[in-house]
Amino acid sequence: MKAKKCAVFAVITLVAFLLFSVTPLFAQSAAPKTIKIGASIALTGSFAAGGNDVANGYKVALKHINDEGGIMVKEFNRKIPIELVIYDDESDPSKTVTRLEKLNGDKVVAYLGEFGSDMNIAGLAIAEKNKIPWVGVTISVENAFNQGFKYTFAPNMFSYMEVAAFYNALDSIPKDQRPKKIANFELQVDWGKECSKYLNQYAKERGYTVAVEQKYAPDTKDFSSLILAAKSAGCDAAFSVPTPPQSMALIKQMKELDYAPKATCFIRGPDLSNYWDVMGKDANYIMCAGEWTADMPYPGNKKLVADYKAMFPNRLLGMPVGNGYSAFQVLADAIAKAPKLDRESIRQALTTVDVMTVKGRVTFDKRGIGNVPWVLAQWQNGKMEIVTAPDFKPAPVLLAPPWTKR
Amino acid sequence: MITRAKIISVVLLLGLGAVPLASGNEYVLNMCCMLFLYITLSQSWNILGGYAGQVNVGQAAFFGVGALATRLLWTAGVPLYVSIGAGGLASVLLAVIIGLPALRLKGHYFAIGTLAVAWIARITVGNVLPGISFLPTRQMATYSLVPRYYIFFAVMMGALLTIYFVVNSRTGLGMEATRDDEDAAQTAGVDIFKYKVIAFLISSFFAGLAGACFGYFHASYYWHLPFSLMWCFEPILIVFIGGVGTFAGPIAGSVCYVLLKEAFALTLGEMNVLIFGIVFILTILFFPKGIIGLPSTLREFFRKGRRPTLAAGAADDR
Amino acid sequence: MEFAQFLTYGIINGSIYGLVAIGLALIMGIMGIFNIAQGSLAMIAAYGSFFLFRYAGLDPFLSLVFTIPALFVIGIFSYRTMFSFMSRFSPHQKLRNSLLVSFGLVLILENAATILWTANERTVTVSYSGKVLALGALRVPYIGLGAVALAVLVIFGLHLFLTRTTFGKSIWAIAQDEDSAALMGINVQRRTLIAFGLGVALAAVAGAIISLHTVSPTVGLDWTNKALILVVLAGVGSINGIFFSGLLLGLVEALSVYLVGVHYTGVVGLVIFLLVLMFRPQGLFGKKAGV
Repeated sequence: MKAKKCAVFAVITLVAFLLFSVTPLFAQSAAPKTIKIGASIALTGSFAAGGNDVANGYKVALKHINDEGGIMVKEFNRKIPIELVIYDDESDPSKTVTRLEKLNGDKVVAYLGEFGSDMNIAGLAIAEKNKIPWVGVTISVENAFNQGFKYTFAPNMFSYMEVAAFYNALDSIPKDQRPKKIANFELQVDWGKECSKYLNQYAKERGYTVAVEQKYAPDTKDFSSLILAAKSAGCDAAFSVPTPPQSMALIKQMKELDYAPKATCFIRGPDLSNYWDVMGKDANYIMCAGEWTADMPYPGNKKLVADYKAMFPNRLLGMPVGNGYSAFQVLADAIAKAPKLDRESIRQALTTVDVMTVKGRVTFDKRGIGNVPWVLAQWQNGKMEIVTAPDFKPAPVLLAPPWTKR
Repeated sequence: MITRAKIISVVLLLGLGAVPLASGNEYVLNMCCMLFLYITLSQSWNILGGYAGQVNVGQAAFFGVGALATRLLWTAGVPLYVSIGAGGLASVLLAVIIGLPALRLKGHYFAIGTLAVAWIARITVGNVLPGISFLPTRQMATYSLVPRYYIFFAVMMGALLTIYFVVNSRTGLGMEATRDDEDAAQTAGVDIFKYKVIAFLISSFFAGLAGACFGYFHASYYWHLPFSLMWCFEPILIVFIGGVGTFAGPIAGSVCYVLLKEAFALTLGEMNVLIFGIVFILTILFFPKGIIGLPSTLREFFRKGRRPTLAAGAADDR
Repeated sequence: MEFAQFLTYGIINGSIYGLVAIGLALIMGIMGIFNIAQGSLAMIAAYGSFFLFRYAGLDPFLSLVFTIPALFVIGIFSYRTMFSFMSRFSPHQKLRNSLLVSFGLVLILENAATILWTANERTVTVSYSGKVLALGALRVPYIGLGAVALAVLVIFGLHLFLTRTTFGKSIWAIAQDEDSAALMGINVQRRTLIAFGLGVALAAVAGAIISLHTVSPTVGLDWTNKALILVVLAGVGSINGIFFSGLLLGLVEALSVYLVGVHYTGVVGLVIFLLVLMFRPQGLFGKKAGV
């Protein structure tokens, strides 16, 4: 009896589902009404903070482009507006895969990436499998781009660039004050290990020493053994890629244990625009990724910031916003340059893209990794200043005095 | 005996078998794979948690070990079916090492003890393999959802058939006796430990196979993904919502959970999980017997004209 | 001196674990309701502490005056709407339904918080954040001292409440045998309601400490998992045991850095937990008669 009910129920549901998911096929000889772009983004779950920022960055770019009528598509010789479809994947990579398959069925011509390596990794492989060009945002793992994939592009700073920018910042400090002994707190994720590798490699080449190397995990809450090891070895610089909560807890514990290296670089975490707001003066002197800040002197930033504040008055202007906007600009440029409005042509156009965006000039290398400006930032008295940049004069790096002297 | 239920089931099976041939839609294949995965995993939990009454909150460890073993072997070149089988066996091995001592614990202690095992696995794998598992170029180039669909399907059918026969046999009776009243069963001469072990081994085997399919399914994922603690909680929720200790419960629960969540995510934007949570709670409040109990709950509602309460819930002590 | 420093943090962290677990010890251990929303409720309280600090300048230790009653009300409301229907269920039924309902509650709390307040990380940095009591080379953070003091107060306070007051004793009675308790004239429904409210109110205390650490909508589940471990380690039903078990867990994790890297301290803690269960299947302070 129950088996029968179950069977009937299952049949009905399955049929309904199949009907729901079948997409009608019709030949498209006329110009499409919209250019469909899709993204699976974590709007809920543990990555929702960055996820929503990325989505909103895309939305501002979408508005700017559609306000002008859309992209001028060569194939049809007319402007066509973009239709951006965003599905929530709940910070779950398995759902990312499902959502991207749905978008594939929705006939998108390109994918945009999201915030969070866990999901991006799953996503870019699906893009490769479905032969749909994928433009990433906030992905820094070099390994992902050594797989020989042809459809994936990421106009971002990757691990080796972040480490190089850190050393650039150190190099810019006058020799007599320059920190030489680095404490490396290695987060046990692939990105953390990649950064470690380059930190050690470049240290040798550039005349620094990684005196202490300590591992910790994304769920670590007590950093006392890391901090004490760095302190007792006399490390005057510290480098790590902590999770956002850890970037706060680490600093608090460093203050408790009275460890104040002259230079502290946490690539991720302090780049949250509310970091100073919640940490107060303890956030002073912390360096972080500067990949995009609201006052970067690149074209389009002022408009982005103004419109973002108008569209999302209750949201902070986080780093992923500008990165999202920039990625959208790159994709839009490729679509405009592509001879035809199809996936393959767009992919081809991406390989040769050369466009100025809100975070600087973007081109891609053979692997799809972006040639972007290498930028590092530092919290200086309440403001996030750029302290190393190739295109304009940055602010000087400020060295942190001991805790008692602040 | 040819019953109507059996005819419908066969038709359904043939229909499902034909899906990849009828529809080239990757999304449909993907959703079916996920559905089959959840059915397999939740049914595997059900045999131990629903029938034998041992609430295991560490299923992710078995799921993960299966995925890990299969992925390691298959990407190293070991033939697919061997890799998948190895995934199931690896999980059973884990059950023997960890599960058997764990069965000494009862109730809450067993539940949280198994959670601790899964948590240890999650942390360890995250540290030992902090990176990504990519498919080698050859396997990436030949990636297709069609064989994956059939393998998920085969594993699911294997799980359903095995568990169906077990629960309808003397062994199943022994498990239910263990669940309903351990002391009484023991007094009556039932070897409760034996039944717990059998249930545990079957449960871990199919959880491992489900994991093996997971390892085969994904093009690229972080090694620690199948060890996420959500794989512990979701099967339990699905079985409870579908009807714990019933054969059809995990199936109905999986279908509703997976499809409803999908429908919400595609249509409700950032509110989708919030609304799902509200619907979820309302379902439990108004249908305490689970989805399988839906018809009888509705019948009672219309007959008595009020919300089913203690009478309905307390009556069937499952 | 390093050893003493690790010891200090071990005690502090153990106290924090205890604070998160104590509410669950009452709700799950004594009332038999599997509330996996406990950590998420603490999260809500932590947001309360954060906003009270941000907009009213109230120290989290002081704003407990507001967050504890607020969470008590939330607890009462939740029980009334979502948990009271299972009060007469068998233990197995109760477990199942409370697990499901509380999971739904987690989804609601996490996502409501994300939508209302964004998922951005928050923390409370008070004027004495990072300041320490220096005992020679040993540095004892004031916030840590506060956490330990709160844990002692709350845990032993609850124990005294449950064993010395009539109300508290009636809660035990209800937990042992609801029918007899009713026959004795105890208003079971009302007492259960208040006890649940109390259990949720205790999450507010944890919330204050969490806000001084970091809070985001999804922190709840990790704290709940830790609390579950602790409740079982102490022995289901034990209250005082929560403090000592918390200490044990905190110390084991802190001192395990001598054996393994920081990235494995969690594992060592869990392994010790399992070893305890192997030798004492009823937990450290639990009664031998099983669940």
